[in-house]
Amino acid sequence: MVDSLLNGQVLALTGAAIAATLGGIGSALGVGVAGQAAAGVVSEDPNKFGQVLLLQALPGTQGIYGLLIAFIVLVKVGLLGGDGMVDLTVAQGASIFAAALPIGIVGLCSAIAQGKAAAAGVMLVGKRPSELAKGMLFAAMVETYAVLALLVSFLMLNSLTL
Amino acid sequence: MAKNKIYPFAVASVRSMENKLLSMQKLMQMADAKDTEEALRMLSDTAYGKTQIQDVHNFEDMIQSHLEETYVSVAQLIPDEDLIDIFLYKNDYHNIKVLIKEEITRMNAKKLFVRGGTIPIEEMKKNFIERNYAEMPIIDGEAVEEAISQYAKTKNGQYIDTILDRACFAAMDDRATKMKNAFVRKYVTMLADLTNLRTLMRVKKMGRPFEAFAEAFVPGGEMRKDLFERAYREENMLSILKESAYGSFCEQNMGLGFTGFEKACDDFLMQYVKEAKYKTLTPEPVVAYILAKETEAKCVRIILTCKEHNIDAEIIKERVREVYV
Repeated sequence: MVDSLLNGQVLALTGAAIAATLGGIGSALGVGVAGQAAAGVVSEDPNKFGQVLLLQALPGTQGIYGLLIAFIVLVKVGLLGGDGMVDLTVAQGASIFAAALPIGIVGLCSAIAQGKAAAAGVMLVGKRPSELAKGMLFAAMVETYAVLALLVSFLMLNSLTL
Repeated sequence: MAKNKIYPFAVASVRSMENKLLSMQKLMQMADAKDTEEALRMLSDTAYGKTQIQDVHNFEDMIQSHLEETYVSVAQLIPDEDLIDIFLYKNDYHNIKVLIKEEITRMNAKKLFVRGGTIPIEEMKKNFIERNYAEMPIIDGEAVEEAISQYAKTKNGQYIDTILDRACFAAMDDRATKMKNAFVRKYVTMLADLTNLRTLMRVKKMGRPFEAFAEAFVPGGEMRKDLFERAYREENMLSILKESAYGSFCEQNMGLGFTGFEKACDDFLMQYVKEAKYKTLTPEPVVAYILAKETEAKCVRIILTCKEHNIDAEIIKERVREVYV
């Protein structure tokens, strides 16, 4: 039973799942925190809706990056092609699994951190509406690391030959 | 993930509300007003203006309804926590003091009650008349009984105040310990210490015996009673108080005279409360906002009362407390 599960295909799909799931969880939490803060500001001043919505959306990118990597994995193993899944050795499957880890793990943590930074940015806008750009920049700094992880995941997948 | 509970909604709302706090500049303008009417006119342009008053001398009404509104709106932000109750105890204890005195003097003291306590005044009155302390757990029934019997023995109303102040601080101390919020805990400790320091200064200045201080000593602070006793017995209080955590504070401000020292105490607390400005998700800013509002109300009260008595604008400005924003 365990042997039949530990084959290349299952490992590759687990990788895709990790990328999409962890990135998604992180983004959901991050956008959630920022959204609560945004609602707090709007409750006092409904005119600020547009500004705080921008900030709330920022932690959402990690989920998209995760989805992107999951897609690339699925294309790579032939699940999105139509010819059916290609046969993978355990080593190949494990490589794909490894390639999905950076965006999964970094995506999870950075989205939560970004959510807090975005929430702080929302409060900044609540207090000083003219400082929206600065608030966005602070939150966007966190994005760097999610992008780096995306890059690593992408490069690893790209250079894998099956 | 997060160890402490976070309150993004509440903190963000409070941050937006902070914009409407009166600035020092505005308060100074009010102090410069030529009479109470003008100062009140300036005040009605702000959030205080919601309550319309007919008579200028009723400004206390305006301040109180505004404070009450603040308590309610802040309490709604964090519905599942009685985070702000601890700041309302003093209002409850004030009201119970008024009730006791009302009973003793058989006078109607309706005007002296303050709103914004955790127990509605009518309910407190009913329970007090029935001596039903179980219905109001915040009020220490034993302390109330003690105050009444002490008064019966001594006919000195001051005992009512000191006994109930002590009970109030004990209740706050108890609540702060249960809350496990370091910010609130430290605030209550500082408040108790500063209150004791003020009492010590007053007792010493008036040449009263140390027992007068011991009666008024409130619990909850980190400075112990024997430290105060040593300070009292010493010719130069500072040499003893220097050892305490408030050493440099006392050194700087004890020479200011009593009014100056009271202001220094309030400003010192405000300095501490201002630390909450740098917190984003934890409840500290919410708590700080209440304190900011209370300080603001105090400033408004000082200004308007001084205006009522035609006190010079420069003196008023000296007495206005440091504000949060």
